[in-house]
Amino acid sequence: MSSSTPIRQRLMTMILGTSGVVLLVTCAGFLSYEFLTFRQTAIRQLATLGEIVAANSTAALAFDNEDDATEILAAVKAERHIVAACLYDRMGRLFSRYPATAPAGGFQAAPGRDGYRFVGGYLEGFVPVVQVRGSQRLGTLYLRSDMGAMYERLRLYGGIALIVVGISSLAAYILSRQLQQQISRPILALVETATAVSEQGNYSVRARKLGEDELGVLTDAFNHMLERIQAQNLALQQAYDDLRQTQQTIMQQERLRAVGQMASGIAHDINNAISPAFILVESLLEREPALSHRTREYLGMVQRAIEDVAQTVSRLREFYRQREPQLTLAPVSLNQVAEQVADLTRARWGDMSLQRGVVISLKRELAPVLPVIMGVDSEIREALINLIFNAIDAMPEGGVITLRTRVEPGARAPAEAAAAGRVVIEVSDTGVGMDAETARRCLEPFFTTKGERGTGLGLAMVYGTVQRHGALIEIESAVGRGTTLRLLFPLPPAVVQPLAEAVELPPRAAPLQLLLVDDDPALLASLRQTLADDGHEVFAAAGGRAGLAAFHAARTEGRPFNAVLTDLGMPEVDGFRLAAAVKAASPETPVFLLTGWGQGVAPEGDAPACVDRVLNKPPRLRELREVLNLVRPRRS
Amino acid sequence: MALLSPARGLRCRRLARWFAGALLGLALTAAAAAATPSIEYQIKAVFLFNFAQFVEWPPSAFRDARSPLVIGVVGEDPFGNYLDEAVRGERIGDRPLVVRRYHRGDDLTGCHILFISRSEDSAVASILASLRGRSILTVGEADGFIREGGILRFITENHKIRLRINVEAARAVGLTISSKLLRPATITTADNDRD
Repeated sequence: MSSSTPIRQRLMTMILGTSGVVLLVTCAGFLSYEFLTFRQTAIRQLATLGEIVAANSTAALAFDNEDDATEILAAVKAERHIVAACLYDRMGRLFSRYPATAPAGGFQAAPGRDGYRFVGGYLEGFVPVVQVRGSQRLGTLYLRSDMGAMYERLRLYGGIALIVVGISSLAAYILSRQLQQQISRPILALVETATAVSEQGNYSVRARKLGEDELGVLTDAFNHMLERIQAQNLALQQAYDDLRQTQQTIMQQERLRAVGQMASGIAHDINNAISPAFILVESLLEREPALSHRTREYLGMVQRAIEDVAQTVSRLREFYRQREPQLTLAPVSLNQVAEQVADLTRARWGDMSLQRGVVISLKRELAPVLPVIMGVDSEIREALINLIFNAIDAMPEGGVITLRTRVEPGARAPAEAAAAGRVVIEVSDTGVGMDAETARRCLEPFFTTKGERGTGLGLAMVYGTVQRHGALIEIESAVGRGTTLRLLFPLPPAVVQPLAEAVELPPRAAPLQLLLVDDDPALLASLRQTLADDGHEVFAAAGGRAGLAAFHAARTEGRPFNAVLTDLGMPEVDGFRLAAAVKAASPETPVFLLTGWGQGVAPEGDAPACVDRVLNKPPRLRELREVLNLVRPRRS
Repeated sequence: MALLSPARGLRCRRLARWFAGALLGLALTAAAAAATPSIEYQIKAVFLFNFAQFVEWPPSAFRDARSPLVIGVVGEDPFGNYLDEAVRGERIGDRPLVVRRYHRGDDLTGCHILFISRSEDSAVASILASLRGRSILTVGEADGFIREGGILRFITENHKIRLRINVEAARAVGLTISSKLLRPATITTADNDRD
């Protein structure tokens, strides 16, 4: 029985082997006993017969009666296995024989030694014939017994033993088939379960318990172990999921933070970069009445573009600041915004597409009469620009972009239709369209179909703008059938003032002696020029250290500055340190902080005590005049 | 003759006595040769001895448990000393065997087996009459032996010696004859016994 034999077979073999060996040993013992006692029994039986015959033969021998002796001997024929018998007289001569017809030559001429012995297949015996009361031997009886019959009986016993062993083995087989299951079934059930667990990794299966014995205890322990493994697996999976979710959240936040930091840095640089342009354009429009109408119109467009840049840059920060900026809503004409957007994006859908050999046309379907809405025009403009850029990207083979505005009346009574209705502006393209999954997810931040070219922020920004305006966004798209993005703005509750074309600038402040500090030479030059144009005496310092030196020098000379305008981010001595030093020396001197970091870095409320006012870059002439109007000139 | 005794043929323990017997035999050779009986009487002598083994006597027939069993021969002895040889040294239980010879007129009551010789054929009736009631196994050869009250008679048939027994007579005097003895014998009565 090898070690790989199934346990069922082993148990069977053990049971059958044991019972078989026991039976064989028993039968062998029985047969050995039979064989040994069989000879003794044969001798005893023959001896008994011999005694009887001898006792009966005494008189026949004593009185020499042969007939009587023959008659007595004939009685042994009742014993089938006695094949021969004879009597010898006291002289040792053959006296009579059995069978009576047997030839005298078949017998020994004289009696042998008294006693019984096995000769060949026969048992022979010589029995003395003695009369009980007498002491004289009267003769000798000879008996010969055929052992063949006896051996035959022994063989019969052997056959019976074999049959008994066979039947017993069969019975043992049938019984053990049933009984061995009591042990093998729980073990096999355990094996089955263990196999299922190890092969499928399924820890929810349980072994069937089939009894309360040791195997039952084993099954319980096994199941308990599985339960613990399952529970631990679950806990592990839970922990893993949590960890993964946390990791994703952290990654998302990290990404946002990185984008935010990057955006902040970009915002700073852009604000600094556009500040001179803005100041100069504003200055031109303000101070050069001789400009041609065409020049004035173009300069206005440039000014709007620069304002949009500034607004865009400021909103970039929102992604990581996640702070709802305070909106200053103003009446906005969507028709006007649509026209502006068409002009601003012309380069992209017009010239750039043509260079790639693709024809994209932009169609305007604007409602002739459209109510104004309350909103931030730069945000709305930027959102529409985003939508148009997306439309261009969706049409690599060219197509038509349609800009459409209309009033969508509400479902209420006609009198209240305006109040319940919405002003709609939509951008349609004839491009590749989106499938349902893409349409569903396209507003999510960082979701993009443009691969490396896209940031996944465009539509998210649009969505943010829409939400801030209390508007709705609708997306209609099907693969291969283009996309329509629709923004639905609520109508303002009251009648809105018509859009003021131009805001009057505040008057020039009284001439002041100003200290201007900035590490950007271009900004320094343009701002200095603008302020000088307003009649102020401006000392420009190209850094915090130089500014502080100039400030102290002026005080020493007895001609202190009326106010200090300083950039925030500068090497060595930054805006805050400069402001603190100025306030320490002369607390009454106003300090205005110009920052390209925008509200993000030094928001209004967070301004340190040493700063009187924070101005965002690019600085607007109006703001400058407003703050400078507050400054009281020391000497006039 | 010690050397010829069939009863002693197989008895080794008698060797010592064999020497004594041989010496005695040498001394009595002449007389012994004249006393040698015929085969018939040799057999009958053995038969007489054998009777002692197959018949039981009532205790009253003996003085005590060790007193000898006496085989008597009345009249002319046909056995020579063959009978003496046959019973010499033999015992029936604790009893030794003794052979006594009687003459007509002697008191025969001391014996247990009495052989009445042919010489006494004429006196059989009177001898038997004198023993009436006694527990004595009377053995004879005369034709009317049974009829005259004898118990056992030797008869020769086809050169074989056969026995004829009057069981009633034996029982009447208190003798118990073994059924084994009755097998080879012919049972008869005083009234219907033939010659």
